[in-house]
Amino acid sequence: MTTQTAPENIATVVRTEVERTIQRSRRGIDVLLNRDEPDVGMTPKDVIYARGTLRLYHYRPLAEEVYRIPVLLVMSLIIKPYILDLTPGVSFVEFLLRNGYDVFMIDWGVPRPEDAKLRLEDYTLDFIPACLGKVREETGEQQVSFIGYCMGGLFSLIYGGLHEDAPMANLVCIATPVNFEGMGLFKQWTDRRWFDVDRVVDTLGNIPPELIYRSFEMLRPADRLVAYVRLWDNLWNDQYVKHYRLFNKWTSDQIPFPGECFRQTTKDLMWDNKLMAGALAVGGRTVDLKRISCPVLNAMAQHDHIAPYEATQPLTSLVGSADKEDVLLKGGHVSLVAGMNAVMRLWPKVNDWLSVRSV
Amino acid sequence: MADHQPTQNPLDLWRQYLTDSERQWNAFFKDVLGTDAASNVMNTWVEASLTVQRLFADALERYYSAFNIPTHGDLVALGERLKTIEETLARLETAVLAGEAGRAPARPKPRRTKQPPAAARANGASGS
Repeated sequence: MTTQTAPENIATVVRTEVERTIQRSRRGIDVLLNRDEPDVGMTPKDVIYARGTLRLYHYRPLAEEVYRIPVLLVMSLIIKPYILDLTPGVSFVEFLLRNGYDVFMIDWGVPRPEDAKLRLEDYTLDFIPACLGKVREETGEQQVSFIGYCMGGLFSLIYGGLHEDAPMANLVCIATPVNFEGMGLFKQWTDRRWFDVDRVVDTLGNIPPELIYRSFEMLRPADRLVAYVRLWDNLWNDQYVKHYRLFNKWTSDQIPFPGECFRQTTKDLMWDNKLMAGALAVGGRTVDLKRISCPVLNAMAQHDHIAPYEATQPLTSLVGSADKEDVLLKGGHVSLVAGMNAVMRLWPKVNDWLSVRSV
Repeated sequence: MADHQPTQNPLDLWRQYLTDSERQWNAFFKDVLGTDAASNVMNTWVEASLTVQRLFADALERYYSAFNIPTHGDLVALGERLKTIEETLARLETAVLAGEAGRAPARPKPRRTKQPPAAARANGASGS
């Protein structure tokens, strides 16, 4: 092995930095002017069911032979679903299709003012069963595997806990909080001593996306400034800039939280932690997670500041399944499902776990 | 033995400093924003802005009514009616498309016979 002497090394560093500075100025202008905005959610799909803002997508299979059991992706209410279909090569949906799954996705859409009335009852007793019916009709299969991300995982759990005979073949919950005592700053900020949720919902209707975005940002206030510095440092790197712009587009693309559902989750989950206590009632029925007897995979991120480990870890102890597994992976709330971290860690894990249970 | 050499690039030291600073500042803000006092102040601010917003909305509504202009409530009601029309249209569209699909040659459906690779089968057996 050869080693450079100190002056040669300094010369190399200076030369590299000069080249990078030139490249930075060129690409910096593209980023500032938002030129060539990256395309997202490009995997070909058909809308097979629409209701209000809800859309049920069926992605076109990329293989001639697929696993028998279809996969239904259940998204969170407050994020755009294209985080799971960012761009070719960095798309969980594309990964599943290439590995032989028949993939469907529930996109809740962007709630309108009149959707402020929607409650957990609407999502778990009406919309999910309706979508499930369409998936079964489209595939001819009775059983479906659920993959729920964040609040989508929570909805899948509540759905399973409400239906004794839920046609759930498998359940994969990704970054899904169940113990709201472990929700850290969110729990503290929405404490009933100072947070008047009734007043907020009665005044605003839907919770505006700016409020949600700022509260996420305040969980780690230094992140935004440091992200800008890191972007400047890496402006010479095409891949880095591309991924930065994709993620930046997604994080700033927040959607409102339907007001009544926000009121319900704040009171029943944040304040009273009813899911953990087995006391959550939806539509007059108790959510009993012991009703879930299918195989369950609970995927958590080590550095998740939105759904921390303390909030997600008890999930498998609550379900009635004999076949269940916890997996704690490196990464944060978003890097768990998208980006190179997900490509290397979560996606292969989900494929290994799900493939043997999808025949 | 690992050939680990300390970096000679001063920019790497700066990058490490940036990462450490980010962690320290976030930990500091977490401690500060997690106190009862900070939570109370933030919510007082939210309350105040909601009060202003409500007063403003009430005043505007009276103004709109006086001038016979639709209010926010009227638009929401209109939105609800549009939503039911959209749902009816979506049902009709689905029915029409289903009719067309019956006439057009269907896209070939994949066989639902795929088997997992042997390695996954071996790993999966040890799950739970």
